[in-house]
Amino acid sequence: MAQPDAATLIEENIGHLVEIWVKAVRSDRTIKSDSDLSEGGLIDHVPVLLEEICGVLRSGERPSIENIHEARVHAYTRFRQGYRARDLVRETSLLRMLILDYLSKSLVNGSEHSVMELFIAASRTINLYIDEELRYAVSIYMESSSASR
Amino acid sequence: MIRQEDFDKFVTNYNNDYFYLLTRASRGSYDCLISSFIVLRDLYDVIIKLHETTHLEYSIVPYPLTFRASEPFLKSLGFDDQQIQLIYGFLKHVKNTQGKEFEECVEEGVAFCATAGTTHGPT
Repeated sequence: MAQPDAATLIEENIGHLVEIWVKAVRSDRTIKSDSDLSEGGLIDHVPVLLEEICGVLRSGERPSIENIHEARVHAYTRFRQGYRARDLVRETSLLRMLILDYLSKSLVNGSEHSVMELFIAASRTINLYIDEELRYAVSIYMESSSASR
Repeated sequence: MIRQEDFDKFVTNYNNDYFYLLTRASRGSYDCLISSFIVLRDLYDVIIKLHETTHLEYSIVPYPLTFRASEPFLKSLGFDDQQIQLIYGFLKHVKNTQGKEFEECVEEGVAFCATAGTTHGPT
C-alpha cells in the first residue's frame, strides 16, 4: 500500500469529510469569523483543496509553494472575507485532524501489514501541506498593507 | 537585489493582468485565454519564488492563481453571479474544445487559442 491509496481513501469521501468539517467549525466556539458565512461560503474551496492534497499524495512530491495553489486560494479568500487569522488557523487545524483521524480509522480497519508505514508517510505529507498553507496565510495576514487585523 | 517598491509594482501589475484576464472570461471573451493564463502563471511563479527566497514581503497580496473556479474567491474580487457563470463557462469551453481540463493545458505549457483551436506551441 502506498500514498496513492491514501489519496483514494480521501478522494472517495470528500463530501463526507467536508460535511463533518463544517459541523466541527460551526460547533467550535473559539471560531467567530464563520457566523456571517453561508454554508457555501464556509465550504468555499475546501473540496478542491482536498482534491489537491490527493494529487500531491499521488505525485509523491513534497508539499511546497509550487504545489499548494488551491490552499493559497483558501487562505486568500478567508483573508478577503475578513476572517480572523486565528480562526483560519483553527479551521485548518480542524481539517488536518479530521483527515488524519479518518485515515487512521480507515487503515486500522484494513488488512494490510504496512498500514502504519502508509499512515506515517501520508500524515507527513498532509501535515506539510497544511503547514505550507499556514505559512502563506501568516505572510498575507502579517505583511499586507491592507491588513486591518 | 529587487527593492520592495519594485516588487510591489510587479505584484500590482500581475494583479491587474489577472483581473483583466478574469474580466475577459466573465464577458464570455475566451479568445487565447489559455495562452494569457500560462504567461500569468510564469509571473506568479516568479512572485512566489521571490517572496519565498528573499526578504520581500506581500505588502500587496498577489491574487492566488487558481486552476479551479471558486465562487467565494471570485465574489471577493467583485464578480456577480452572471459573470461567475461565464468564467465557469470558460473551463467547460476548454474541456469541449481541447478535450482536456484547463489545468492540464496550462501544465503542459501548450498555448492554445481556445476559440480558434490553434496551437501556438510551447511558450
